[in-house]
Amino acid sequence: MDKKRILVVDDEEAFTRVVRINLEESYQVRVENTGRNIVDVVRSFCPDLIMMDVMMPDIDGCEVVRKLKEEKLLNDIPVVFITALVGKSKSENTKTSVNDYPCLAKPVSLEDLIQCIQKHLKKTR
Amino acid sequence: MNNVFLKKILPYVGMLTVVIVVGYFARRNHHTFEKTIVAQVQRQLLNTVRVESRLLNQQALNLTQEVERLSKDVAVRDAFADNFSKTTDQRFYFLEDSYKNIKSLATSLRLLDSRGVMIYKAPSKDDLGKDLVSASDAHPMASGQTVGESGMRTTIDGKKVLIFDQPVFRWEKYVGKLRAVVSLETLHSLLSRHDGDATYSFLLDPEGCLLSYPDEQYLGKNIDILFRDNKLSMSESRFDAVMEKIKRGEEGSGGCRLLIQDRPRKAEEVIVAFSPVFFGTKRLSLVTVIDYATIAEPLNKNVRDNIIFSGLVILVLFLSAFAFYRDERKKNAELQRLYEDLEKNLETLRSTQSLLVQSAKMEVVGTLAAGVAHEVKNPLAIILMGVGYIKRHVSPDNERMAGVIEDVSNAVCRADLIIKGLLDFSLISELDRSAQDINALIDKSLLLVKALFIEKHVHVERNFGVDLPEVSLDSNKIQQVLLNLVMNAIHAMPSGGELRIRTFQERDADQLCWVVVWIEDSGPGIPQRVAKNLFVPFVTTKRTMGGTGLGLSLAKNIIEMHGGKIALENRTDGRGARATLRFRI
Repeated sequence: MDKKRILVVDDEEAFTRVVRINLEESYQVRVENTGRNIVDVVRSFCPDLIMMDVMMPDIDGCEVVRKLKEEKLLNDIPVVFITALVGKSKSENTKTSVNDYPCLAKPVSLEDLIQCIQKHLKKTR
Repeated sequence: MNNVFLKKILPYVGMLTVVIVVGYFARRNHHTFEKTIVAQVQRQLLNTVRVESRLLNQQALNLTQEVERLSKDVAVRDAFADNFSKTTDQRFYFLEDSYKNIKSLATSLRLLDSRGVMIYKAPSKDDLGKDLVSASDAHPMASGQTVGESGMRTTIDGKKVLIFDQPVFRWEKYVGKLRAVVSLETLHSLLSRHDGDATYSFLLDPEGCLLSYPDEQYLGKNIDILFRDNKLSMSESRFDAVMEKIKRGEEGSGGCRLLIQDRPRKAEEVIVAFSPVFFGTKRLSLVTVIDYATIAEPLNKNVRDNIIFSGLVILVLFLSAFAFYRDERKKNAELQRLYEDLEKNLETLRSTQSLLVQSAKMEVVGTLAAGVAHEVKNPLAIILMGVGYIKRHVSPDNERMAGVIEDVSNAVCRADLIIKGLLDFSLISELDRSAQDINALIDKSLLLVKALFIEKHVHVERNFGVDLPEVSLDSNKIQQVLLNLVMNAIHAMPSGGELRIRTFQERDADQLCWVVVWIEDSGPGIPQRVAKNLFVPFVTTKRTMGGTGLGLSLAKNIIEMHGGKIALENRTDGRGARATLRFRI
């Protein structure tokens, strides 16, 4: 059985590296440190879940999601925002979201990250 | 002092001045009117006395001319011949007819010889042969005077009469005289046209003898008798000036005051007009007097009109002044109100300025905090993710490694907590205010930590003020403050205790209204060493319990952003600490 594909978009290279190390045992992980070519990446990689940073120096995470929506690429791909701007307690609240998408607050523990991925992957099955 | 003078004394001085000025003009107007009336009456009276004197002069002239003509007749008829018979001689009967021509004025016509003995008398013959006049009445000018002579004589019965003598000459020799006698009663009857008591006329001779008068008892007497009691001096009465003119035979008019003997009233103002009357050589004065009271009616009416007009003027002025004063007071009250509004607005402005400064500060802090949070949270995320990886690849038996990993995890969490606290600062620069019931907000906050009260054995006593006015607050942020203070109180009572919350309304020394919240615990109170730095960021007594030292600092900023006040002190009864929140109504 193929591993689920997870696309991690974050301008913090060290962070994407540790995330990939942690997740690649269970998932097929692709990391991107810029949001510019995400539409092409999604088309080619066909992720089952996208983890998207909100604040990136070249492009806003929300803007990237909007473009993906325009391209009708997000019909069955869940997006989880991961940001340093939201407090931890707030991100745990399910109502806390960015543009109606779930959101994780940095710093997030590995357990919380895996739990969140499993939760949203289940929805797509 | 000046203010008191302007406000209290000046209006009365003004009113008094108005009354005096109006009174002065009213009085001047009355005097002018009185002078006009008096002058008019004097003119009318003078005209009247002129007409009367002219009539009298005409009658007197008729009399003297008739007597003069008769005297020539008498001479022609040889009246004083030696064979003259006093009683029977009919040569003088023509005198009876002649008398009829002058009887309207003369009481009798008499013929006297050179010794003064009456030879004939018309109309009666009773007194023939008698010397009807006193010896002194013998003609003093027997030396042949040719003009008529007149004067006053006293009859044997004591009555005064006016006589007119015309000498009779025969062959240039004085032989006797023809005498016309005019009684004062007759004169008086001629002047009987006076209108009752108000206007009356009388004749005066140059010595002041009354030749006619409405009351007969004063006839022939000096005018001085009319003065009663001599209470008025001549100068006071102004009578002497009038009398001088009368004695000089002048024509004129004037006013004087008289104390009339036969009148019960006191001094009377009279207006007098006088004109000379010539009776032969005798110069008399016809005097007409009008009582001042007759012109009193128009004068009184004028006084009444003046009083009414002056009163109306004063009333209108006072009403205008009152209206002006009331308007001024209203304006002053309005100004005072505006001033108070301005003061209030200034206070609000100051408070807003302070809030804006505070807000600007907080905005800077917030921007800084947000930047720091973003930059710090990313490394923290990498650390935590790295710790997670290490944790999964370290043997559970390696306890030391597990301990280190746990410590690193906790440190990351604490750093995150501080960052979160700093982020909260960035959010308080904007308040979402609405009218809130402070009691309801407290209840809502208490509900959130209800479980904690049970767990920590904290008994809550609420003493909420009734009918407290609503306060404009950001409910979420104030709840955050309340929760912070309540949590502090719970932490101060680890083995349980009493949490007392009281709300009430009070007015401070500047008459400003506040809603006050007291949160009291029964813990050990605030240690002396931290009392001064309670609201300084990062000062905490609970670092081991995860305290960041940002809670009270944040609470203070939130309350001050609301224009309120916060204080934390030990209770006066020494049984714990008290947090006080004050919100302006």
